[in-house]
Amino acid sequence: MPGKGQPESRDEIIHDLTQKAVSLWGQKRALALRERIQQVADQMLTVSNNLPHFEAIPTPYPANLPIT
Amino acid sequence: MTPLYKLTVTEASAQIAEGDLSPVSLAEALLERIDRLEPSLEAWVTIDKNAVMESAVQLDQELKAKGPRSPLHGIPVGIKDIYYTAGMKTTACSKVYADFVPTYDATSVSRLKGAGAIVLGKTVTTEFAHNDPPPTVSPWNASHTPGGSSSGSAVAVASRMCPAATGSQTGGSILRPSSYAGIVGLKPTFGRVSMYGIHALSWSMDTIGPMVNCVEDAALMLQAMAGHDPMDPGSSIEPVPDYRRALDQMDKPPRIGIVRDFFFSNSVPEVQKHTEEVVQLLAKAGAQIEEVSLPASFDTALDAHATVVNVECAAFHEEMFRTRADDFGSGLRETIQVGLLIPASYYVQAQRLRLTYRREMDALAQQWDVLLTPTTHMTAPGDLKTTGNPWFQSPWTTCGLPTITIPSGLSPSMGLPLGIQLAASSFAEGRLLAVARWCEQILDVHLAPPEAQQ
Repeated sequence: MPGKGQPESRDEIIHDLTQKAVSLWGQKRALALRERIQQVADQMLTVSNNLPHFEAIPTPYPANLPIT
Repeated sequence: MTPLYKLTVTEASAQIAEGDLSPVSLAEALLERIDRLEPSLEAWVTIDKNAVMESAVQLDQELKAKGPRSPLHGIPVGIKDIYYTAGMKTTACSKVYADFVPTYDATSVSRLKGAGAIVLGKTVTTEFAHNDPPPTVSPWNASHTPGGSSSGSAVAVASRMCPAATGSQTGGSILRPSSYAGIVGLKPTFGRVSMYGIHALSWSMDTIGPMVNCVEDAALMLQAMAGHDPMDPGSSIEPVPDYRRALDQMDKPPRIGIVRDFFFSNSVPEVQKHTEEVVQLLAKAGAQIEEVSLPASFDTALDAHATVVNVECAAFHEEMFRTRADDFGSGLRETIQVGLLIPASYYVQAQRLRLTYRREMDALAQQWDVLLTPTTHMTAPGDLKTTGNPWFQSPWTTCGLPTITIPSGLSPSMGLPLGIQLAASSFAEGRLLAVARWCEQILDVHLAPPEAQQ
């Protein structure tokens, strides 16, 4: 969970996503998503293990930003 | 004499401007071609023959009275069925939008029409441009995927049912099907072409561009489509140069950076060998070839891409998904579901990673005229349950740089098309097109599937 002082592990991420899936769509549909949840957990782990410099601002629309 | 359906946009445009070809004859020839091939290829969702002929007659009259509006005057173009076309169904090939008829054109469509192009029809897309396989059949080998999501556009252009079509790319959906089909596909810089009036897959990734049979045609199409649009917040204010003129401004062979990291190592041996042969040909013709090392941020690009796309796709479909989840294809449904699960902070972090990555890749691309990789790691897979792997395009979509694929040959093992992918720095489409045209001339590869040779 965020705020607990250390990054989430892969298993923790999978657990949290699965719990949420169960609460939204029930056990059966959550189970059907298992492989995809694992894939997404790996992607989230890469993101959280490679946080950029604190000055990097999220910029969904960079088209008019100067390139430096 | 070349059959009319085999004319490129450039060739047809020249004949129309000279008065040697009427838009009416060209439209008739293409509609006839569609009648013959469409039952076996399924590239089209909607064609309104009456509307096509009405436009052709009108443009023919205008041509005689005033001359051509632009090089696209009287040119029939296929429009991917995620682009809004006023008064014509825009289904995104989804049950959820099966009867949706927009009341306005996408900006890119109105610009093409304004340039005198004719909307020939709406081409098949995978559902909402995601990855559930389409019904479209590859004209190269029916047991191999045509790729996606711009499946219909790729097949229609390759089989000469139209000289040009439009596509979109969120992962690899312009360049991958273009390469599988043996045609040219251009993904401009993010923000170069307005996304207003396009069904979104991922707002901050989606980019639209042309799919054609030669580089010069790509320049003509981009010229009509490009430019700032106040209706699209992602649209760039960068001025639009003369792309056709840029093609002729190469005063010496290009400096090409070869990206072997990731792209060569993840290609099958046949693609590695082929690409090395292409590089040697280009070097022999005078290109200065240098090795490129990717920045460390590249390692996070695909995962940042996936995080952003999953979340934005889920946000776009969230409301409809509440009541019609079972009407979505299985792949898209799963993406929406996982997108709804990802905490917001991960999405934000992924967008932050993109900014760093974009800056590093742009700085890298500025050091050469273009960067070169194989377009795909293998030819079109022999599996109709997939549209192929976008992993050679997604890194470029993630950083927003312009890329183009040109056909480079046929695979010895399968006889299927291979392509090379060129990338340039932000808003350097002129240089990208010029180098692509130079490569096209050196390689002298012009592919047509068996259907298109009839």
